Amino acid sequence: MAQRGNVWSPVAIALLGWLVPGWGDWLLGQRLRGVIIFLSVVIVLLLGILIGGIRVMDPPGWGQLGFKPQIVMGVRGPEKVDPRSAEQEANLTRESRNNLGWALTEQPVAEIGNKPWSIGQVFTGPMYIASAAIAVQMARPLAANPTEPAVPPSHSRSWELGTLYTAIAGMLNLLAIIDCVFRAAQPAAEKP
Amino acid sequence: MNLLAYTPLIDPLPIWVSPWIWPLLLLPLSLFVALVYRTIKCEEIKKLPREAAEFFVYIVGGMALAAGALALLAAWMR
Repeated sequence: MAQRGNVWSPVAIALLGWLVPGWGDWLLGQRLRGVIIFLSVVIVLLLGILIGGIRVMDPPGWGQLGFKPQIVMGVRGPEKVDPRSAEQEANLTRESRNNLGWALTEQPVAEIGNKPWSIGQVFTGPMYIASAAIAVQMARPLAANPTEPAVPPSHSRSWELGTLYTAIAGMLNLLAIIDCVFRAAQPAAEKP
Repeated sequence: MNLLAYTPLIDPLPIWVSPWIWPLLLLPLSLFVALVYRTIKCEEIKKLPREAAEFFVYIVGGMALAAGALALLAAWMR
């Protein structure tokens, strides 16, 4: 495929490829490849959400009911508290003496380690952020039933396959980003 | 789950109605993995459909072999 002179830095290509899957290839002159990657990543992500429901997007830093878990200094040391309501979340945040902070900022490795599939999902770019924000809103309980999430998470095969699809969508985009960065970093004469 | 209340993209797809649905759902995933991987690796885009189809067969064949081997191992351990 004909290649025009590249004016994009590898860092810009990586960022733009994350922002819109396939954009990196498009900017490097490989437009058909870019379109195929974009459509594939979007379709796989949507299939994952279709199979597992929106709650397969389960971002670290938010609990089962869509509130921010806090790290609180307990009798035996720091412990995680998952708020069951907006009121409890606000009260926990105000308890400045015992509250060490949001679980994602206080214990990021443990929090992300509890949801390792989110590492793959995050590479789908803003689609991940948007769908995770919707999932968090859907997790919050309704006034009629304050102890249960409005949309419960799926389980067993539905959850497994939905998570697998969404994580692989992100990993496919990561593969495309790495390839674009590698090609953008090569001198123009060496590019295929 | 009440199927009448099913909302696509919000509720999970009721794949539990048959035990044969979930293994079949691995096929579209394998197809897209093959397509994206060969899109990146393929030298000439004209050869993409053939290369992606070949790679898809390799993935599905590999999974079938792995499943068969694990089933044999599980049967032997029982």
